[in-house]
Amino acid sequence: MNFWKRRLPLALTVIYGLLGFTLQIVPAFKGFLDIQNMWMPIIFGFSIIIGVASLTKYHATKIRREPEERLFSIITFASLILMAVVGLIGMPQQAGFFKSFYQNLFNYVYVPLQATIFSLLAFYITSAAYRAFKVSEWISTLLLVSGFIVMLGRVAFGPFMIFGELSEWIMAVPTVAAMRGLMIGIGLGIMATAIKIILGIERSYLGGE
Amino acid sequence: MAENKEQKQKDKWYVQIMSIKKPYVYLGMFLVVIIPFLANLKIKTYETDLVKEVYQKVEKIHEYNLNHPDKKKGVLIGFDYGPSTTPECDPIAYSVFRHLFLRDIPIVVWAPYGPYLELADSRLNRIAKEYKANYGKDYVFMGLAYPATAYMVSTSSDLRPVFNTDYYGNDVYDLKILDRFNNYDNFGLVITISGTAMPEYWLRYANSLYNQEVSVGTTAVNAAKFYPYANSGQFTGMIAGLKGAAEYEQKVTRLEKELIGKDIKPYLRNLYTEKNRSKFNKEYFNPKFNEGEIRTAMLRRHQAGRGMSSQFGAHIYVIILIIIGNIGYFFKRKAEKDRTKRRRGV
Amino acid sequence: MEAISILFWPTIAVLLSVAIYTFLWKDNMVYKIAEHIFMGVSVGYSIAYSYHKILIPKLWVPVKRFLSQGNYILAIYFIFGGLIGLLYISRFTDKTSWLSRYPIAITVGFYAGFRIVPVWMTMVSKQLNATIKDPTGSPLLNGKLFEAFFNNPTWGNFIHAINGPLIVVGVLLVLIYFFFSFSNDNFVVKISRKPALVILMLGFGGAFGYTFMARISLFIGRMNFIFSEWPELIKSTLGG
Repeated sequence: MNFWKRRLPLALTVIYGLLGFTLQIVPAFKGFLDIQNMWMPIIFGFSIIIGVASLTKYHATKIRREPEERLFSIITFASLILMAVVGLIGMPQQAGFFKSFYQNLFNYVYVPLQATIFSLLAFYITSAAYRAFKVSEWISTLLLVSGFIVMLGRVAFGPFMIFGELSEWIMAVPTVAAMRGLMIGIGLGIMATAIKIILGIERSYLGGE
Repeated sequence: MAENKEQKQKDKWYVQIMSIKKPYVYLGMFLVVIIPFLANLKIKTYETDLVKEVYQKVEKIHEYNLNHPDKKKGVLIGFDYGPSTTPECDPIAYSVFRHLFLRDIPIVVWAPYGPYLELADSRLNRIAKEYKANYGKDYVFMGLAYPATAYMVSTSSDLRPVFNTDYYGNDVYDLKILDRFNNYDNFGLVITISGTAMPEYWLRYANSLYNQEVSVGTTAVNAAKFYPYANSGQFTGMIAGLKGAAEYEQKVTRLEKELIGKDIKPYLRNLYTEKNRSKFNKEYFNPKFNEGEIRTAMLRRHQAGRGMSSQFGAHIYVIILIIIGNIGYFFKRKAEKDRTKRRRGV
Repeated sequence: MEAISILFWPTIAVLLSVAIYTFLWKDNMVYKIAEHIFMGVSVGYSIAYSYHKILIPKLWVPVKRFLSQGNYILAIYFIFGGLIGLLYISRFTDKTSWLSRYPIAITVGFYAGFRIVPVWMTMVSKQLNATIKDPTGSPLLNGKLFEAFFNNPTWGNFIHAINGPLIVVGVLLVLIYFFFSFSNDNFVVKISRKPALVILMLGFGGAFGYTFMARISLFIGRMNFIFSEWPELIKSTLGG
């Protein structure tokens, strides 16, 4: 194994993993834990570079190779540069043209676009439920019936209140049991993976080679 | 010959009802949501125990503060949601803030990510304005708490050194509210309003390590996952999705009518006068209500309730669609079985 | 003039929202433009946010403070952190992208170690505890509740008595189902498959109902903006 490409990163994982575990459980090290917790975000701050790098590579290729998609890639770069410049200048200001431009871009472009793209899921889930929810065995009927009861129960009023009570029971008993079983299993899995990482057994995050 | 058979299959009624085109399905969804919404239909929702638990915990804090005015407890709010989940989490945030301001419980707010900051700033000050709350005395917005886990751990001793300043640049040691409300001992409750898995981090670091009581207001997607935590008492109650928001809204509106009076409009109109306007720092909100703002404030009090009527329509619609699809599927399978039997019989 | 400046940006928001919804009819140029604007704006926002909210307050300000206090070790450690973070630039070319393994290794390693104990306490220990006792301290397998039911046999008392044992049995069945998911001739494993599936299907049905509700709420929220908040703004700006 190449020292710089695999051994040293692996060694750093083990060192920092043991550090994270020890600082967490030894109360006397709280000061060091606070310092380390303040140090970690520095790395996150630079991780945006990965996003910018992938986006740039992808759209630069599109501009070169796909003339019919060129306009959209140019729009992406233009809006990226506009928001980055306006944000870099306007974000720390208290008032002024760039500050209000940045706030307007955020509140009236970023927020509505993100919210609307997420809201498309309402249509997709309806269409998917209509097409895919086909009952073939009695077990899948249970899923469907329990889904119906909970959906009716959440909007129940007046004559529909029986669904409300049934849906409360479904959430309080079988859902708790199922999710709890899953959660215990997932929790043990997370711990096992974490231990494997800090012992250097799990190495998939390092990528190839 | 084979093509004729295939075409005949496609023309059968049970195949047709199984394959309604997507644009028509979407159009149906749009109509069942928009019609009740525009008709301003309001459905009164029944109240569940989990939401009652959160409400009663806040009321207990209020009672405790009345009996111990020198040893008041505050509430720490983790404003842990962003633009994509505002439809569900905004009504929760509004009603929680409303409840806390009505009961004069000191509030400390922080947000763990950048996009959440602007939302937190606008939502908090919008509601603070309706109750003449003083920034720095009744409430404070600390700003960015990133990484959130570090701040959750630091709040066990004192959150001031890790912040240095609040969101607006004020020194943390100049803000009166933070003299007392800077660690878990003086927070009666943490309420995390979230559209992500952040409440789990609150449980891991605030609740498990420091026994801090945590309540959660969350989207319905995550609510199903959090039910075991609410059942085990790790969460002190849960406000789940738009329905949970509608329930909490109902309770707080009842409380507001009890404390302020049935008609909130005159209360808002007369809240800020020439005499008291100067007491409020315009950096946080403009101490004046115009008619448009009053109308919006009234609409906001029933935001989740209005949404519930559209929810009802949408739920009935999708149940009917699934039943129709399954009727078609049932008859299609029956026809295939009959054809197979006939072929074997021949 | 003032009306235009108040209404301009909210109208842009409405137009962009409608542009996204045109995708429901079919993929078209208007939708693609809005989508690509969103991609650019979100990455651009992250750049500005990373600089002003993370790098300046978490790197620049502390290093200045440590240097002024004479705490050179911490200042060097923080600058070292900045240099490690800068290694992400190596992702721009395939030849040097292996350098980005350093910051990834440190992040993955630290948080793996950091989370072991809290995950154990929150997801495993307290959940197992809650399967034995409920939050009030009474056991889930509660003989007293069954006694109350036999003394006064109503539906309500029956449900109260049976809920606890159902949760205990349900959690055990689900755990057996997932732990022994490989083919197994053990009697307990075989007999518990169908009941475990029943619990899982009921549970996931509930989760589906909630998920569906959440998705619809997102759409209702946008409708609230387009059909309630925006017309209200127009009314109050133009109507006075």
